[in-house]
Amino acid sequence: MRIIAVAQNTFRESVRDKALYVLLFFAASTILGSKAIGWISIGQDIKVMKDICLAAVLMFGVLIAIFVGTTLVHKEIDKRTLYTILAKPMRRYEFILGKYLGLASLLGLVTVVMTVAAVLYVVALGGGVDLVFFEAALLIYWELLLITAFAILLSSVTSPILGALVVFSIFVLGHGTRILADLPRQFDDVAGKRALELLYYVLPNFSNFNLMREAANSVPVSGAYVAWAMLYGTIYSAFLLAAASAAFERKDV
Amino acid sequence: MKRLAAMALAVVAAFGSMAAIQHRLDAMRSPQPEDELLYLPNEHLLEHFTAGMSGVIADLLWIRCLLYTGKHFRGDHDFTWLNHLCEMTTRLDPYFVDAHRYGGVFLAMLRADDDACIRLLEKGMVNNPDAWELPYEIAMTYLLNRPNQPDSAVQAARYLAMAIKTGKAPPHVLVLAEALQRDYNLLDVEREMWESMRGSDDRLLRDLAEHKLILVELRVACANLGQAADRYAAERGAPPKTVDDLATAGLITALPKDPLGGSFFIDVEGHVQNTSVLDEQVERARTVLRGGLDAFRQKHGRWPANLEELETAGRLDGLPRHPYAGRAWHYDAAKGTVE
Repeated sequence: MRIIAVAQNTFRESVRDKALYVLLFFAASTILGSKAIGWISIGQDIKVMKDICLAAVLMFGVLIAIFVGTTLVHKEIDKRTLYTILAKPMRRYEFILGKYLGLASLLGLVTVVMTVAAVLYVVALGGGVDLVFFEAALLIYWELLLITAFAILLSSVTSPILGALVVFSIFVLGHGTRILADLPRQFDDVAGKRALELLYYVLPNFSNFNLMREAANSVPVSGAYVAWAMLYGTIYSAFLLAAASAAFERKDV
Repeated sequence: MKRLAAMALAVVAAFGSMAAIQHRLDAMRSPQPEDELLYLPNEHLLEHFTAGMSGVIADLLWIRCLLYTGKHFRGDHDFTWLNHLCEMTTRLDPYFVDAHRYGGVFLAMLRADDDACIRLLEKGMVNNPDAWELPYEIAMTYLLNRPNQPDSAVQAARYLAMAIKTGKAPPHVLVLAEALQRDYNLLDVEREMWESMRGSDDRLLRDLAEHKLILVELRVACANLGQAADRYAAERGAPPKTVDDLATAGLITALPKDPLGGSFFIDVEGHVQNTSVLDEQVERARTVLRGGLDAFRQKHGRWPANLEELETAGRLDGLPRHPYAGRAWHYDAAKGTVE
């Protein structure tokens, strides 16, 4: 119950954030502008539109998760509202979980709004949308949940600016971890090869959530794959939230 | 009111001056060299660091590829970076069927690089086994670009069968496959292909198809004039000296018009030819030679002493014959250029 109260409060607070509307404005402009880029491709305007729409959902979702997520805990400390909250019978992990769920709800709303807008726009311009498009949007949301967990963890241990930079770096590098599993032959005799391969399984693999190419080209993806990817994201996010709670428990506030 | 007018005037003046400065800056800046494409990262690395945006980057690269192709198609016909752009686009989005398809068409028809075309299309077939367009284009490449290869018709029939097997191929592919098995007239196959491309929404493809269709008709006209020349020789005991002799003898009503500005003539071997058709063949043969020269230089660090060295070094399977009978290639070993 206390977790829900914090979540509701976080949701309300985030919805009032002007930065959210600025980002949504740019997201809407990108989605509407996708047609213009599609015009100069050979009959590929719908494919280009789908690509850009899904990329906008991901990119602006990531920016919201990072900019809002990394300031969540720090803002409470800075405004000294945290002391009032913690003075109440509330455990610190409940506070962290509430914050996470509040932001997750906001991101859910934003993802749904942007996806529906993208679908309507594509359909209005004569395109069709398959199930895989919605699967892609669902996995984008799961990716945002994982990024939010990173943002909450960093928000508990460091400053917002540093946290935002670190989370954005994790987002970029997390899409390139496959390189560690596909090391070139030159690495065959290098002692560190095993360590790098192990690192592949430790680092977050955001590519698991990337079905945008399949969605744009209407290539079907099995429901089992989507379910496994969601399970991966859920377990990783749970681990990060546990780490965030542990760090926040030890934090001297 | 006055204040509002002053503000509007100030805004117009500010943006007007900025536009003028921008125009001047654009004029001062030298055109961007296309060798910038050389500095695009290796596609294997690029794929890993797109932060999930590989589809969008592939779209942008494809648009860049179309602009590049359009510019050089209307300009110098130098398509050095075409393969690189197609490879990067399709690596970043392996499900992008049209990038494989039209990339392959451009490589075969404009860069005269059949090998790269077939490689790109076969790679696309691996990731898109249901796309009938990819095996169809490989079949067309065998038929149109490798007509002299002994097994080209067999290979084409094999790929057409693959296209039909997808269950999505339009009826004309089935007709082509059947016709091929009856030793089809390849000129009709080519005409049908360009006719279907002429219906494209894209201007570049339409222009290319229009150009190719004109060349097909010119080749048909050459064949018809050749038959008239044979009749002339049979009736008069000597071949005609010029194509005008055919009209004078009443064997043709008038010489066909060449919309590309070329002319018909009888070459030193007695065949009726057209300069637009031959010029295009010269361009294609030069592209093949340039590709061989570049590959030779990359491997040996120098230009070959003569064109025959390309053959002995295994860079080319055979030197293309100069399309104009009686003419030879002029090769500059110092600059590595062929005229």
